[in-house]
Amino acid sequence: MAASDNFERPSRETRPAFSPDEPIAERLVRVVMNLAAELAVVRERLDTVERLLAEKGSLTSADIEAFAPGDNVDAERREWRETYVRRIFADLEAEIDAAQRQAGQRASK
Amino acid sequence: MSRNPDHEMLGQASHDERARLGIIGAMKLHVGRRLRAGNRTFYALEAAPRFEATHGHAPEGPAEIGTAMRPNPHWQLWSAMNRATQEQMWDAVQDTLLREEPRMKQAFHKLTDRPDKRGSLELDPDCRVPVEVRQSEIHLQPGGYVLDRGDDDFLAGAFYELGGAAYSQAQGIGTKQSKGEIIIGMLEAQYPGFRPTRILDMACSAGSSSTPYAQAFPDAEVHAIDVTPGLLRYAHARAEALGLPVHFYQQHVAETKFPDASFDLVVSHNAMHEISDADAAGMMRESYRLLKPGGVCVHQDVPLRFDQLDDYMQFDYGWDHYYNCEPFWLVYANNDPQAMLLDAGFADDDVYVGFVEQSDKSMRWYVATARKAG
Repeated sequence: MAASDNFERPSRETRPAFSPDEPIAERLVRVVMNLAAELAVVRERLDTVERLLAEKGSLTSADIEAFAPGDNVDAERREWRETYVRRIFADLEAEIDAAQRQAGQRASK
Repeated sequence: MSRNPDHEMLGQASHDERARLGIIGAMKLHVGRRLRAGNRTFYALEAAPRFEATHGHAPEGPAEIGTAMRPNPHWQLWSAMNRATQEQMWDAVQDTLLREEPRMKQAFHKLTDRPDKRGSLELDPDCRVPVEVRQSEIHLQPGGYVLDRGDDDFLAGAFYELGGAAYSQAQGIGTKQSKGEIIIGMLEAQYPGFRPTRILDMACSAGSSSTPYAQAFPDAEVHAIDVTPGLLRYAHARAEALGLPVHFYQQHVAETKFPDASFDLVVSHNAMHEISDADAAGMMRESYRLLKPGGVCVHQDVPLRFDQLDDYMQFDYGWDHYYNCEPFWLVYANNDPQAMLLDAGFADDDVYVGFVEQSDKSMRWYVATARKAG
């Protein structure tokens, strides 16, 4: 849920379920993904703080809001996010790799 | 002009809101591409053999592939994650818009109450709004296109523009070139010297594709239609913020109020996949009726064509219909715009259906084009 709903909407629970027998699982997925996002938000704020401190020696909240990442910083951050997302969801990728090896072995038998 | 040029009506994200959209975009890409591709392996390894064991034959067609795949735990988890990223994207956009709304509302009144404004807005409470648009949050957009909280509410359009920008950024679709500019470039190549003086943009949503025509053809009159007030109010204020004259009307693409032969160019952008087959055919008939002899229509949309995909990929791409609230996704993927244009009255030689690529090659779009004889 967004931090600030101020109009009537149908509940998310009315959307079709993927695991009808385990309704809690889907809610947990939402929670985990929001946690993953919030950790990255904090990390990016820290990155901004570090960059500004290195440049100016001191800073205010307004400096952080006004910080405009250039193309280089944008590219570095994109790369960091990609690595981060792969790390968070590494188990899922490992399962795919294992399944692909298994499928490959079956095909070569 | 880029797809989302900065303007007074654009919601401005804070530092953390930008960071949040950035990470959500990265998760969206990872889940939507890399993890999604793994589903096909789980299908071959677990879902298809299990289906065959109970049914005595391998799954045939996208519907049976769906029956086989839905109980698969990998697909269930992937689906929950894929939908969560779309919900997260809208939540993040909503945080920015509701925080920015007071400032945007002031800008809205300043821009649209001016007596010397360049364009106009005409709402019609009797306009037909299809039931699918009234009752669904299309692609999970909060409140849907019908969100309307009063006479100066523009949130539906603001969601559309900011959400669309976040989505394109996440998918790596270049935003340097707007969809209108891609079509303008295509027209220049296909019909050199074509200079329309009256242009209609059908199903214009937030008006992001209407304004490029006003900019590229400053001597032309640009008109644009859609069915809900929340989209049109935003589109109107947005065009004024950019200083571009566009006239917006609440009208349905299949039953417009304009006279016969009153336009040189009729366009639509990402409209076909959001209307029924009957309304798409109606839009083609209206295109023919509204065009002057020698006039051109271009209907552009996502490159989703089921006749070019195998059964598994049809099942895979069908996900958006069932779980991302795209009521006409499957109808569009299977439709035949060429036949619709011919039925509308265009001659065989004057119809072109194919693909057009963005100049940065990051995306190709489907186009259905026709020129009226004369």
